[in-house]
Amino acid sequence: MYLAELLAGALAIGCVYSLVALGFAMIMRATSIIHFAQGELLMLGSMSGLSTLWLLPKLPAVAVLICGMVASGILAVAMEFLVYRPLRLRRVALMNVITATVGMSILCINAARLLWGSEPLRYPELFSTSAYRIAGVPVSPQLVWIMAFGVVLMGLLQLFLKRTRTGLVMQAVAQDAEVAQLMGANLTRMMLYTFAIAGMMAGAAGVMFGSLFFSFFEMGFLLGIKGFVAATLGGLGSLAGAMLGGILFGLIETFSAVYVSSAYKDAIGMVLLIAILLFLPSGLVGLWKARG
Amino acid sequence: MLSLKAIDAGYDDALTLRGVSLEVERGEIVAMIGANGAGKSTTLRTICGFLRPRKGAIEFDGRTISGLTPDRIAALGLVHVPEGRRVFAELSVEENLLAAAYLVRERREVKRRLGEAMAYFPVLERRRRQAAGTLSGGEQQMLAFGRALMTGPKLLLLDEPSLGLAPLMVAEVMRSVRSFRETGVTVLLVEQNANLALQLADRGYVMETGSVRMHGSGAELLANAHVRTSYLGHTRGEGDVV
Repeated sequence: MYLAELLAGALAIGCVYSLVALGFAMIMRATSIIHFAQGELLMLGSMSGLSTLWLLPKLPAVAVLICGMVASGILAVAMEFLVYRPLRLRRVALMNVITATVGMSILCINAARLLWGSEPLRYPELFSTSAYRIAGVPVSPQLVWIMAFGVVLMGLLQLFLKRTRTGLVMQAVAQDAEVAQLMGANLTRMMLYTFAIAGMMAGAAGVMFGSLFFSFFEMGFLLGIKGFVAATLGGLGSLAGAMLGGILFGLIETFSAVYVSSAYKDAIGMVLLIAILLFLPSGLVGLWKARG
Repeated sequence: MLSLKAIDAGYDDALTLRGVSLEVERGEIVAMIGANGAGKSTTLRTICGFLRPRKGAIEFDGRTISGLTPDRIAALGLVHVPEGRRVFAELSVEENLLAAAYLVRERREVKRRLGEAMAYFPVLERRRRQAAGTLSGGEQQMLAFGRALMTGPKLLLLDEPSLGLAPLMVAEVMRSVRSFRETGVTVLLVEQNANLALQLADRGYVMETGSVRMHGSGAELLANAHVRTSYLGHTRGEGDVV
């Protein structure tokens, strides 16, 4: 019983990490940038979702999720359009663009502190509080819904990338931007789409995390890093790997907190990151490919 | 249809092309031959918009295209198939083709072109769901051609399509080039294999150190003494050795 609740919690937080990791992976594939402001997109999505709830307390959870996604999507597009793209056009070295993403992250943290203050903010209850029974086991509805949102969003993203021509072209751009351009792809537009989607994923993760715990102006820092660990675990730049990495990282973190010590919960993630970089630099996907 | 007027172009500080002029008429196959580093690929990259000419003008179908971005030039029907095939390795054959039809608005038209490309290259039909990276070199070249056809080209720039292929595949590639013309597509072909290219082409240009050294009909160039010694592996007066 206790194990089921724990597992549901791990999977729900894993979905949050997966969504953040997906954003990292998509941007990395398309632009080679490690987008360190990804966590802040999550935070701003979380804050935006919360703010819409303050204005419209009766809003259903799905609508809150969409508000957070839209807000973060727009912010991500703004970052790309106003900062990263001009830098790329000036042929600034990649390392400096990545440094600029750290700058964006700090800027967002400070802006959020001004707008929303420095206290952790609680989300109102978005879901019913009476436990669902799944195969006789009670599970919190919150966790069930968050898992459902995560799975649906990732499924929709896969459908978009596989089934629409725009999605296919986005993948083509990620694999060989020059050739994609020769087939008529407008790179500027494809980059904007990439950032919009990465932002929306982070925004959704923000609302999901906020409704589980709280919103906080500095929440993006650690969550962003954890999303990055998840993306690295999966194999940086691989979308399937990012999804898998997020879930796996949620499981590792949750269970190690219970069976090792919750005091080291955050440290475990960082130790894991270093271990992956040392021993499994191409991540889970690399492992799969080496076998195949 | 395509005309380059005294083009100067190059990367960074180096000037790779000096005063390159060439013409391609509608329905022609024009070959461009020359040694490695003579500027053939640079010429193609300048035409398709990756490099901006420093001097001179490029016209296509009656309008100036120098200065346009590659995607806009592609949208006009001037499509470059770069060296090394460069298929989208992680996408399937079909996805490669669909991605290339990005600019086609109508779903039915996309379907029609997909059918056409697969009829053109039956191997693509057979490998439809396979990841493009797992195809053989020759199959990848067919896919690169098929992808170019999906865009609905008026003029194709083909950069070394036979490079690194087995002789049988080379013949196949050359057959495809010839049949492009039959369907009304004009071809500018860059080839290391000068003999093959000149036999196929109506006209040819010989590039040396970033300039056009000479041009003429395919037959003229094949008979030319300089071309024979420098590019066809003949010594003067000798018969075929290839």
